[in-house]
Parts: sequence; C-alpha cells; structure tokens
Amino acid sequence: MKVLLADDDGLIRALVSDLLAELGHAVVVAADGVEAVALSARERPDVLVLDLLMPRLSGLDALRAMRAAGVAAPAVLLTAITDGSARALEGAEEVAVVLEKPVSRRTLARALARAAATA
Amino acid sequence: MRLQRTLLLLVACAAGAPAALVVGLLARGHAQLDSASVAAAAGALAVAAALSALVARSITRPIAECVRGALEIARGRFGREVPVRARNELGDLALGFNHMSRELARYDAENRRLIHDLEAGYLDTLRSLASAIDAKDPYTRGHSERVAELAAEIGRELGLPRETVAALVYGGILHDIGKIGVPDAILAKRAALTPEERALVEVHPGTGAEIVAGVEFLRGAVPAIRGHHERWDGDGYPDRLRGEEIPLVARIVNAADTWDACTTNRPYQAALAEGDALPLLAELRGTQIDPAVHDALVAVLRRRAAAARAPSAA
Ligand SMILES: [Fe+2]
Repeated sequence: MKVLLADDDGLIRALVSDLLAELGHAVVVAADGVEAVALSARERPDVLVLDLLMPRLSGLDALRAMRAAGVAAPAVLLTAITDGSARALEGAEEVAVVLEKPVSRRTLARALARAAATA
Repeated sequence: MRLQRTLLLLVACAAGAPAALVVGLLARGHAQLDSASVAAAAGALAVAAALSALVARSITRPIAECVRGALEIARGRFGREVPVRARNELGDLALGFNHMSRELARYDAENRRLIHDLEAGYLDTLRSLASAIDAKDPYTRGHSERVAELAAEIGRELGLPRETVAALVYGGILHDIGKIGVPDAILAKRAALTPEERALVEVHPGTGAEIVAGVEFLRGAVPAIRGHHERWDGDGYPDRLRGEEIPLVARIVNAADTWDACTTNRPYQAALAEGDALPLLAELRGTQIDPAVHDALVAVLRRRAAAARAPSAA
C-alpha cells in the first residue's frame, strides 16, 4: 500500500516511516496539514496517517479538506491524546482508526489493517 | 473516559470496601444474619456505587469538556468556549479557559485585520507606482489595474491557491513597470519600431523583474513580470521559453495583457469590440497563449458578459 504520513515532528516522521517501510508499504511524508492536502491530491495514497495537532492545519481539518477534494482513502489519526478525547472532536467521525502514540510496529500494523478493512 | 474509570474504581473501593468488610465480619461472628442487616449492607453498597459514579462523573465531565476545548484551540479554532458547570475549582478552570479562548480569538482577528491593512497599503503603493507607468503612455491608462483584475479572475477560475492569486494581482499591476526605462517617444510611436527601438522595448520584462526582485513580499510576482511576453510556442521574449517552461503566472498575465491590449486603443490599432476580439484570441490559443489559460479566460469573459446583461441578478 501507499501510505501518506503527516506529522510535524521530524523524529516521529522518521520513526513511523521506517516502520511503514519495514511493513512493506511505500511512504510519502508531509510536515504539516497543508502539505498533506497538496500531497494527497498528487500521490493518491491508499491510507492516510495524520497527526492530530500540526501547525497551519490540524490532521482533522486536513482530512476534511481532502474529503472535499475527493480523496476517499481511509484515515488513521495519529495522536498523543487518548482515543476517547480524540473521538469527541468535530470531524473525528471521518477517522477510521485512532492510533495513540507512542507507536509500535504491532499497533501500527494493526491500525493499518483495520483502516484498510474499512475502505 | 480513562480518568472516569480510575476515579470510579478508587471511590467505589473507598466507599464499598468498609461495607463489605463489615458484612464479612458480621457473617463470621454471627452465623445467622437476619435479613434486615443483609438488606442494610446491600443498600449501603448500592449507595456507595451510585455516589462513586456521581463523583467520578461530576469531576470527569468538566475536565473532558476543557480537554475538548483545548484541542479545538490547538487546531486553530479560537473562541471555542466550554460550559461552566460548578462554582468550584473546576468551574474556575472553565471560566479561565473561556476567557483565554476569547482573548485568543480577539488577538487572531486583530492580527488578520493588521495583515489585511498592510497588504491593502502595499497594494495602494503599487497602484500609484503602476499608474506612473500608465501615465507615460496615454493609451494604457488603467491598463495595469485591468490586467491585474483579469489575471486574478483567471487564476481563481483555474482554482489556484490564494497566494498565487495574490501574485497574479501584484504581477498584473507591475507587469510593465520595466517600461520606466523605455523612452516615452518609443512607447507612443505609431509607426513600426526600428530593430534598435524594438530591442529597447524588449528589455522591459527583465528590467521590471529586477526592480521588483529585492522586495520579499513581491517575490511571487517576479516570474509573472519577467515572463509576461513569452509565448506558448517559444517565440516570445526575453528567455524564449516554451510551453510549461513558462511560469503559469506569466502565462496568465500574458493572456490578460493581450486581451486588454486588444480591447483598448493602442498607438498601432484601435480597440476591437469584444465580439471581434474573441476570434482573434482563439487564433492565439496554442500559439501565443496556453490553451488551458485561454479557455479559463473565455470562461471569465462569458461570466462577465452574463453579469453585465443581468445586473439585477448579480
Ligand atoms: Fe509588457
């Protein structure tokens, strides 16, 4: 699968994209929500992995913009916030899976599988 | 929700455990418990459970609401407020939170207003600069302004982002700023230009780009100014770029410039009516003008014509 990963933290980008590559996925990375929206139109990813809190545009608002632009790929919301709090946010209904940080290879693989299953 | 689970467990243990202990001790000491004391113990346990749930909920709910509000602010939605439920420290948290949120919204609005004023001020300065150029040439009065407006409309028609549309406005206003270096006599000349005169005119896109290059805020307009006389077929100047090599903003300003030149009086030709100018424009499609930009321009002109026909509907 081709995964679009957006996170403003360079360390997390490096870590998660390494894990994604190990799991056999192609990865395109964005450093904020605006970049992610632009990339999603160009790269047509199969799954979106979006950090919730990013400068300029949050993951949920980026997701809304992508949906408006016709990007239908299932979304994994990556966040340090607990699942319950993230789910209560406006726009969270578009999210297939909430993946809590820190991310391990196992939780990432499971989140991707669950997201892909909703597609 | 995690907090609620933890609190519920803690309070239930604190309240329920002594009751359970008493029941246990009673059961061991007196083998025959009467039904009244069993019912009392069960009642005590039930009350303990209900109170625990109530306490957990009354503490967790306002905190969860503040968390949600904080996350909304973190994603840039200033001004979100949370309900104030109690006159205690939790209520104070919500009150303080709401005040902070309102202040952030106020600062944000103030910031936007300042940026808007600043940009409007810049734009006014640019307009007066451009009108100095237009004034050199009696035939081009208001030309820069119209080109800027039309270029921006084409940009919006093509769905370009806000910053690119701004670059089109600035690039449109300033596209001929380099003519400041071209002698007035040449600009106003009715007869064909000599090769030397032509060379003098053809440096104006480069001169213009150099004039503007030092201004950070006009960076996006530089390619539009330098490239506004390039042609789609590669026969333009100054860099003889071809097709997509020409920056999109330059292709758009070129189309807007051409349209305005055709439909206003020039030293070398009288203004064409829009009906006569459209076929001319179609001829330039794919030779001088980018076909996609041409089509967007035609769409804009159609919309303008429709709006002019039905002004009440606009
Ligand atoms: Fe020009």
